[in-house]
Amino acid sequence: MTENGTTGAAAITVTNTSPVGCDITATLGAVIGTGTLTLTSTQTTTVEGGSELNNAATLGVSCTQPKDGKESTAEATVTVSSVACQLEGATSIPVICTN
Amino acid sequence: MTEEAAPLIKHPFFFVLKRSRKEPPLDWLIEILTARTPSVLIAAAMSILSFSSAGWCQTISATVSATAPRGFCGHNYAMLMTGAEPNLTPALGSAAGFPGALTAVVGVGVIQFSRGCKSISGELIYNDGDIQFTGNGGTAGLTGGPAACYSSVSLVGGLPCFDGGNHFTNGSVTSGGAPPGMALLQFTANFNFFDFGLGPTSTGSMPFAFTIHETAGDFTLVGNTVPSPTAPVLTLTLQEQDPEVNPVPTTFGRPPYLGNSAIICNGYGANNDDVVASILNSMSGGVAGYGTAVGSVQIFSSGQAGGLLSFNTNDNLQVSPAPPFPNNTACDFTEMLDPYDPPAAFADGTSNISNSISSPSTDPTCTNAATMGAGFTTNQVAWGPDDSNSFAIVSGLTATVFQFVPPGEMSTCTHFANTPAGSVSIAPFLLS
Repeated sequence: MTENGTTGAAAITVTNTSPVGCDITATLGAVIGTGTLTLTSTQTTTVEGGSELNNAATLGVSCTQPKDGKESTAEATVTVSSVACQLEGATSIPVICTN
Repeated sequence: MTEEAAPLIKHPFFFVLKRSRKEPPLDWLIEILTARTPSVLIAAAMSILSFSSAGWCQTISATVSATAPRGFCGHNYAMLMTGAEPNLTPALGSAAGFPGALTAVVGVGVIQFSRGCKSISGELIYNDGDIQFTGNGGTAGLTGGPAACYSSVSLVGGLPCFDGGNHFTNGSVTSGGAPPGMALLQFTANFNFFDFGLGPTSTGSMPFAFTIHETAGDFTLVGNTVPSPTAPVLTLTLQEQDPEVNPVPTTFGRPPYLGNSAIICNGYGANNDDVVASILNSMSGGVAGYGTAVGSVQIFSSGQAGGLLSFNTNDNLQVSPAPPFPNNTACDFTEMLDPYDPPAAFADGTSNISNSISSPSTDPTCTNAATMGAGFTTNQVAWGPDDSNSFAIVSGLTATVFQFVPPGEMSTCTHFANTPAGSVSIAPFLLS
């Protein structure tokens, strides 16, 4: 993360082996540190079902540090949830940006 | 209903109809749905009398006479009724007095034949014309079931639902009077919830008589109603429940409420007398319309459940509102057991299910999602190997502004087991 607005990219892959598509929602928890973290992707994504080629959802996160040039960190937890679908694997993922 | 009773029904409804046309559509709906008039009470009472004297005597106990062993005795079946009620009101413009449009009738339930068919038990949800008032050939539309659900959150007295109990009396299986090789199945379905054209919740009963025919292995029985001037014309399909799994488990996330099922539905819109059919054209089958749906639903082991339905209701055309026409060809939905009236699943394989449309409100392929809180209620009966198939009847619609009203159409679905529950897995997070 560089001064004033370098963006870090984050991605999460969701594999849906069920025949029915699933809507998943990503939420960003409280940010700890002097930098900022922002969820930039669409908050709710439909993961199509039953297709190996079309079952990935991408989540984007941007990081920004203060202009003072000092070392900074920004840490938060991204939570993935679904109303209709049971998610397997880590649904709470820590995101840490440092410069 | 007699001819003398007809004006009692027509007048109050006609008055509301005329007055409300100056009001916004939803206000009109709410006003009508909350109306309770003495005339409607009278109509409901007369309808009860009509059904009670419809041709078969009623007694309190269920006694059965079986003249020969039958393969279905000692087994339980899910039950699907579909048919129509001849309309004795002549069609407009018909000088010859041809019958008016048919009114669809549907029913879904469960029936248990004891060993030797010594007794019959079961329960039934039945929709004959929904809640229309006068268009059903002199009989008010009605919807009924063993119990009432959603009463605390409904604009009317609630919606019919199953309760897992026995609500059949006068059950019998006989050969006398039946055509060769067939049998006469009779029972009286007793309802703890009746809604006659938005009248008050009441109780009632309805006798049924079917000529039935067995099939190989008696996994399926088929039949039709015995001709009668006072009974609807129905077909009956009975599908055997799993004889090894009795009682049926009652929890979402446990079989049979687990895995993916394909769904096929059809529904016949009620007449214009039905307030839901006349107002919520896009959400119901529409006045005298016909709709279908195909899709699937998946229930995960966590109990979370959802799926997708593709509707074709009058080719997505409708009279009102004006174009753009609705498009509901890809509507996501979630479902759960009725959360207002637990328990909502029972050992006889019946369940009461609440479905919510979950597509984004701006989804161009799900117009109904634009209605906040849109959803529908179903009542299902499991059948087949492992009880993994089911019949379903649509018992109501809901939205934030008109909670839990009758459906405006006579609609049933069949769920066929498709695949075991899949999984939705999340890979490790990647940073670049």
